[in-house]
Amino acid sequence: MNSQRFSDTIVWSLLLLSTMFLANVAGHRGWPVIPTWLTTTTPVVTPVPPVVPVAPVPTVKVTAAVYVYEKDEGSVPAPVLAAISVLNGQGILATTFERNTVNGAGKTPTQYVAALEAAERTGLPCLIIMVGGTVTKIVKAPRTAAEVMEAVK
Amino acid sequence: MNSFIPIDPALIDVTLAPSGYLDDGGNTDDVLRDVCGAASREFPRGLHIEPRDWAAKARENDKHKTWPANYLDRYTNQSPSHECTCHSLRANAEAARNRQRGIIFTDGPKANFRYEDSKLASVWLAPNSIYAEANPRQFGGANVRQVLEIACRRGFLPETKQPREYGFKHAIPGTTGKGGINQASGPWLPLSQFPAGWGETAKHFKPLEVIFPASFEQAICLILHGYVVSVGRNGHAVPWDGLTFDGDDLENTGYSDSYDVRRYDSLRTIKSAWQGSFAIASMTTPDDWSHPAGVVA
Repeated sequence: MNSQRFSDTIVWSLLLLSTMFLANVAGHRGWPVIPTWLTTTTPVVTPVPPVVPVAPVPTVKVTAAVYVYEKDEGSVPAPVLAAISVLNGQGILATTFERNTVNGAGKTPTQYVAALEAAERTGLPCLIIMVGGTVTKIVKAPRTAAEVMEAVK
Repeated sequence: MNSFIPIDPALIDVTLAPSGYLDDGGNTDDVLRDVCGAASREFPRGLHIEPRDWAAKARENDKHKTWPANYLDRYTNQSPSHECTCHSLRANAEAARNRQRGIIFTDGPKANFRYEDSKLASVWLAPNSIYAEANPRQFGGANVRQVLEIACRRGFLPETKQPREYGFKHAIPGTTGKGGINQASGPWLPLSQFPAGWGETAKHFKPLEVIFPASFEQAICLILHGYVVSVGRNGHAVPWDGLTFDGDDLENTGYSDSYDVRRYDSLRTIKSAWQGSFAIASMTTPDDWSHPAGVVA
């Protein structure tokens, strides 16, 4: 019974393929053409999701980097100084600040008040990264140029 | 800068005609500490480097350009005046300030050359703003204790020539000597003829902390850490701002002489001259680097 059904399927498949072949030949030679629904398949169209406007990711540009230290504990590591100089060339105000340094009026320079406060909380030495007047990152005791450059990314 | 190449012997231990360094025996360590008052500091223990590690630290300074000379962007030229102690002092002060500002000048001072980066924040301080008070007679020089005391008490005035326009209210020519493209020369200006209210500007350029090495080794460590060490010897005051080595052995100190030239002191001279030397560790720092003497000054 199963072999009979298999034979029938083969026969009908061959008949269908032959018909499609003849239909294509006929189409080229001007013979009557079999309707296209018998000879072509409908393409599957994947629906395109609607475009949702994405809010731009805010770019936070570092404006200042300051290595805050206490000179009695040691000097600023040479690779850190070199990196600080590089940052200055890139337009970032990069400096060092010894904790006891004051301005001409004998007070902590206003530009360093926030950095010094953050550094004292963290423990010296550390690198303070700022955007405007806001401390955005603190790196404890960096010793390499790579640590400094990574911090301002 | 390469600290491991041989130095032309003609540049070592050069003795000049007296240039203004007075050694009356009073430039002793205790006297200098006393004149600096609250600014006086002992050598910080954290800066000690074992002599066996000096050459390694020198190589690191060569690599990163972190010698004291790398914080100096100009020569001054005092010739033929007697202002040497004040030219050495201003090198010390300017290097300290530039180190704080974080600007490295790749090759240190170069004759007849101006760094573009000087415009970032470098302020050129007038040696004569100190010398005029230290020696009102103009000729004959000054000793270290006088000039240090004056600088710590009331600060420097900036020079009339600057790497950029800061709008200083009070400034004077830096020298009565030759000067140069980076230093204003002008006639002798006694203290009584300083511009009215000059103290308001000078207070922004004061040494805050001055370290006095208590041994030859400490003086070397200061240089290795990027501090200029000012010394007087053979009638001339100079700012030691570098070292040279033969392999791992210390050979010389280098200094940016106030005659547009780099010279060197031998190990023997270093060992006899370090006493009475000093290094400015920090200077007053402005609220805003683009207004170094304050917004209104």
